Amino acid sequence: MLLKMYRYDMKNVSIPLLIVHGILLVLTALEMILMPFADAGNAVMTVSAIVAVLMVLTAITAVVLTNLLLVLRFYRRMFTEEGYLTNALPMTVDQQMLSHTLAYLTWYAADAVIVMGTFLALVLRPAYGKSGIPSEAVPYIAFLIISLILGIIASACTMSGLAHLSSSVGHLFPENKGVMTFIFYLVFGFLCQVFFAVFSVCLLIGRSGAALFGSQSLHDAEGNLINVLPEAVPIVLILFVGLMVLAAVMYFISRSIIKNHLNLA
Amino acid sequence: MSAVIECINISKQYKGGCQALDNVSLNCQSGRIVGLLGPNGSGKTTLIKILEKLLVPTGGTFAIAGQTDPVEIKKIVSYLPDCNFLGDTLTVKDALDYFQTFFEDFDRPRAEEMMEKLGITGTQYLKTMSKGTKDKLQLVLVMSRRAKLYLLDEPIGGVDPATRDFILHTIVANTDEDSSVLISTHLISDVEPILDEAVFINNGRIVLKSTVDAIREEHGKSVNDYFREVFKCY
Repeated sequence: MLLKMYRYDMKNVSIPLLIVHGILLVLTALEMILMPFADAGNAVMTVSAIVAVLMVLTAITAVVLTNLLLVLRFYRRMFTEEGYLTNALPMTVDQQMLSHTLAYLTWYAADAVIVMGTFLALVLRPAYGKSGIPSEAVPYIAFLIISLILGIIASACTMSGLAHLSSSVGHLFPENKGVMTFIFYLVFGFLCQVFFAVFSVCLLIGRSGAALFGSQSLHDAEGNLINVLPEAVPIVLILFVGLMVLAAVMYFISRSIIKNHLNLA
Repeated sequence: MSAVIECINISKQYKGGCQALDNVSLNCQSGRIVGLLGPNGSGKTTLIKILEKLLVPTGGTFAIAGQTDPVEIKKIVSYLPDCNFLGDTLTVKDALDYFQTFFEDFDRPRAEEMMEKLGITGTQYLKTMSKGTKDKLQLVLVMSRRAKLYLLDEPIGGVDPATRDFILHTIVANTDEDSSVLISTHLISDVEPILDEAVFINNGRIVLKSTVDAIREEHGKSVNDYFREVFKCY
């Protein structure tokens, strides 16, 4: 049942998201073709600039749309008239929430990879196009990729938890369910950002952070890269665990509201 | 005949103190079409939602065909709410696929046969349908499940007489010996011909449970007339 609902959650949001991400990929490909010729003349430069602006706008639209559609999906299928069918399905509240979390994770990851990938492709192409990536930078790039993956997972779970929490708390106000859901989404979203900021600052003003960001240069006196990975890895892991704990707290509060206050068995 | 619904002292109090159900005990046998009859606000919908496990009662226990687990109950109960529960962005085929995916007891050929009679095609979008057609489609989907219990909340409310006839015919034609139907309504004269039993509910309490024939014999009037007498407002 979990996977069946996951497929339906994915199907429900996929068409608009595939279109907007497809447009972003096409614009990126166009920009990559135009960039080498940008110096050739004003016309090409102008077109390239227009495409770059469109890329940024499409990327913003993709990010906003991904989150908006996934929040709406959960709200609609649980708390509107469609909920009479969804909640009559032979599945538990946990399966209902987890399937949405998985769909959120899938699209959030796809969105992050596509959006970041398109911009990285443009930035890295001139930098490493000819010489390739220096071997000494490989561990750092690997570390960055792993950090990004962990970041995407933790952010997706937090955003999904935010959707569940704001929808369920908003639904406690029967007269203004939609408005209250929106307000609580903004309020809880702001609180999550505050939590993340405070948590990050606390980590970075500690010894690890000082060691990581204390030096002005990433190179030592002999010009070799300073190995900051032993200090950076724990920070990333602690941030990951912190966000996952936040997501879990939101999940269980939402679950408790749905089961006990909204009376869904 | 075995008991499909066994309710013992079910109570439901909403926040704010509204007592929607007060110690309701109800027993329904299989193979019966039971009318849950009462005025607006009498607790009909609350009782149906509790039996479908959409609401948690504040007191009492119940079992559906011996099952008490919410997931197991939802597997054997087919529920028609008093609203449009299918999203408007769906096509008829999407709705059929949805039911087939999630309900193992869904009889798709039976649903398609009924839809063909109604002239509903798979490619039609729900947003293009009239309220009556949507109601008929929802009923067809719900009644195409081979369920133990059908819970129908106001299935004929707000539809024209011809649609009412179709709905009532569909209910009768798709109810077999192993299943029961609980119909909540206040349009008694329309449903009376298909009922085996009537349950009168008022202010969250069951005031009468009897067979339709017994009501007619004992009171010398139709269920509709007796209902008007019992729930007289002046």
